[in-house]
Amino acid sequence: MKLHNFIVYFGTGIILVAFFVAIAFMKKEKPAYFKYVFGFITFGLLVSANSIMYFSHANIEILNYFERWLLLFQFIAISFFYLNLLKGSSFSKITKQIVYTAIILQIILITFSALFKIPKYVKIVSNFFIIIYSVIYYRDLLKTKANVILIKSSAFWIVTGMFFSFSVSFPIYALNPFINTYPEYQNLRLQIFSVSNIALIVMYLFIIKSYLCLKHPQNY
Amino acid sequence: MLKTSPELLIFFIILSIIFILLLVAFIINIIYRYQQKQNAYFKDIESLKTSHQNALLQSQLEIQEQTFQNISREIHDNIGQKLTLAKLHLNTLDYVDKEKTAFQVNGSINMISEAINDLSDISRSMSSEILLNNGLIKALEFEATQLEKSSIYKISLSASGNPIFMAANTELVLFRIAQEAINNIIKHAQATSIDIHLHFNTVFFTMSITDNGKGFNIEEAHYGTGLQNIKKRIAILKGRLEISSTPNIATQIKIEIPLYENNTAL
Repeated sequence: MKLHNFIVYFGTGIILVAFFVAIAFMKKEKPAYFKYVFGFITFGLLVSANSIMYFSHANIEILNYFERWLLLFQFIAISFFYLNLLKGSSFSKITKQIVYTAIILQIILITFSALFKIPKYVKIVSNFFIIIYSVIYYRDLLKTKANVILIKSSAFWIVTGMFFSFSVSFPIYALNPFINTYPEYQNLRLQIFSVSNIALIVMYLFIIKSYLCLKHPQNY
Repeated sequence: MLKTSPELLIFFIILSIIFILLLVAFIINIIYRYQQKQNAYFKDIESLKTSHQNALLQSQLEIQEQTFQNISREIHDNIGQKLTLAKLHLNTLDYVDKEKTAFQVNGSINMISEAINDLSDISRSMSSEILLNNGLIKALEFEATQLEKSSIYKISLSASGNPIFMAANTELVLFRIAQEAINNIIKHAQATSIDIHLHFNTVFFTMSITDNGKGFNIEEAHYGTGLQNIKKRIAILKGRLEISSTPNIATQIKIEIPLYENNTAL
């Protein structure tokens, strides 16, 4: 089995574990933003399953079509997660404006996918906005009362996981058009995208950790 | 100069690695800055706790000082007078006139008995033993019973909500506030009835003391030491004081304190 394929299968396994952990904590009292995290994991699992289907040489067009919409739903789940997380903070208004702008932009991008090279541009734009959301969260964290122990904060683990993963993926997806220009580097291309997949695995591990933080709940 | 595409690709890979390292550094920096902020926050909390404890200690010393003054005044004005009078009667005994002697001895015995009773009342009212053993409600019940013995006042004590035991220090401060308020009524109000009501809800404890005395105009009234003491003690408990008075009808002092803070902070 090639390294790239192994990482995809392994990543899917981690997402599956995250999904089961989320199910296990379903009935536990937790902050409202966890419903969006659950949505994010579910769509992430579907995106991953979709990626595995590529290996079976199924109809690429249909898989691409599904991937676009799954990515959109996943992006909406993340956006609402941040919206809920920053509700009541001094950045609440600006976050709301950015979230709605980003969602509208993503819908437009996907709808006119025939004109743009989708889904890679969709990913670049979504990664960019998620990095912005995370920076807003960090700004808010440093601005408000420091009464939360960070390593026990679910929100901090989720945001840090997302920030790390999407920041790593962002330049990789930005490189994509350049890499595609040189077909002789196809093998290297897969390895570069493996870095992005590893970052995704790290993110899902952080999300699992965030669920485990619920054993000793804090306010934020 | 980058001429070929593979060189450019390697350049981008190196750039990506630097980028990831910067990213990790950024996250570590956020954690470090937050940790520093948190240390300052915990330091503030600690200093607030210390100042709160100092204020509480100060208040306890004031209460103690006031208690000594009360004892001194009571001994000088009341018990001392009675004992002096008894001594005077016994010094001037005329052993020839047996009838007069018997009258003087009986009078002295009565005065000494009254002095003993007064002493025992002072001892009981100053002691916080009942409060510590049985809680605020029982201590106030005892206080009311003692006051009713004077036959001047009709006292009613009631409690609503879900009564709980608060921290011992909080209950002591509240008890002294009630005593201070009752002393004010005795000294100034010319009232015949006193109503004490306690209410416990999940967040606050409320104590209201109402009398039917002559009342006073709150705006014009000069806050005497008694009311100042009450205000100071309520401030320590992070509570609120409300005074309402209708001259010749009723005066009410209402105290509200947050339950959670006063059950954990003290």
